[in-house]
Amino acid sequence: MTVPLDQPIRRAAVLWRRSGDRVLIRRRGNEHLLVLADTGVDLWLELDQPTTVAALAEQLAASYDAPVEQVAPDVQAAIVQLVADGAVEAS
Amino acid sequence: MTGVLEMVAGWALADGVVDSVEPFEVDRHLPMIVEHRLTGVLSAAMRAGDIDVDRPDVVDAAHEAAMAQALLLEDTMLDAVAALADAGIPTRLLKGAALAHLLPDPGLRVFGDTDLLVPADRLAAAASALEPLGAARAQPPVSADWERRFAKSITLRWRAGTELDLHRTLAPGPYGHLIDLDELARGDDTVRIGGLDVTTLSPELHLVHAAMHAALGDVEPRLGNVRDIAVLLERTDLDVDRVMRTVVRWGAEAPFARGVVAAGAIGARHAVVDWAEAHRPRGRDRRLLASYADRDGRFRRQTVASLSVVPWRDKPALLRSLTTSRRG
Repeated sequence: MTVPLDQPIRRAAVLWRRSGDRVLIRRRGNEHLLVLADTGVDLWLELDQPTTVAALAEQLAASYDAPVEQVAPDVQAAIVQLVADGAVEAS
Repeated sequence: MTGVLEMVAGWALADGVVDSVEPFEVDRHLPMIVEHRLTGVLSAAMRAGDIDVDRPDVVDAAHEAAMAQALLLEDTMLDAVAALADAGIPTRLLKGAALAHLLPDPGLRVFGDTDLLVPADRLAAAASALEPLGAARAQPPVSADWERRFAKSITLRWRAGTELDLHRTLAPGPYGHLIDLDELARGDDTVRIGGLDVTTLSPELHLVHAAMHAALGDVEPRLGNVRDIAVLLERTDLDVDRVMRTVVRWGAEAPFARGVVAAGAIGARHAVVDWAEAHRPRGRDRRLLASYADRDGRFRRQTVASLSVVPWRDKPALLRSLTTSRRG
């Protein structure tokens, strides 16, 4: 199955809170919480506007002073997971 | 109330005082912090390096549990707002769930239930409309007529442990009867929650409500609620004239001042705090405020005190309620 990854953005209908160093995400009507930590928190906070995986990777690479080619696959995997979990939508 | 509790409640307020000479002892103080719904403030103060905590991981865990509960409550509340809209019943979101999104950083505000204002004549219908969602009254239904005329609110509970209060007015007892319900129903301020615009009160009415709740709700107000007053005063662009006109129109200067003084005591600085500290209640207000003191016999004292403020047509029914075991 191919997951679309263009213009990922947080789903408007998710409820979420930052709690300490983590982010809790609740999909409407779904009792299971998603919990993000570490770089997942920074990624989530960047997803308030439509963006691209490449732009996200560049931003996070700059924040963490890491090579973008190292960060990009992790960002892509995280977005795929968040889309599959219903927390993020992409076209 | 302890000094530690006040210190946490007043964190980052203009006159809040943080004394971090002694580390915050989780075993000793956290239960009260949870009770006063201040885990978010403590967590933020801890991260800012302003309060030294002996076991920060325990604070984080407590706050995460509180935030998970807040998300569950919001989910239930959004379902309730939609069901009430389908039934043609307008709502206004009150208190913590609204303030969390009105004030900076929703993660700071902990709440243990949600509160919706509905028109007085639709209170019983609203409770019925939520039954298909799994809501049940916390107390057996009383006369729909009594609820419509005198109750502050109806508490509904879900099996998952969530709780929602349907409000007729903002305060119990006599001051609740003085509130202009039509004024509450006007306005179209919203907060965005889960991608939806939820109708709420203006910041000015939230301030009046928060202060009255601190003064008239529990005998000892939760400091998380008192902090709401402080943050509304210090961090929102309030129309102070509008606030004071509302308070005077409702005859609620005394409880409003009492709530605002409590906010001043934890470190709020604002011209309204100066006014409140100089305010002296009149004889009528001293009598009405006395009906809110102590837990025992509160309902009876508030009902008796309400007799002096309700219209003549309501006095017989209110008198009759003194001979039954109703609760408002």
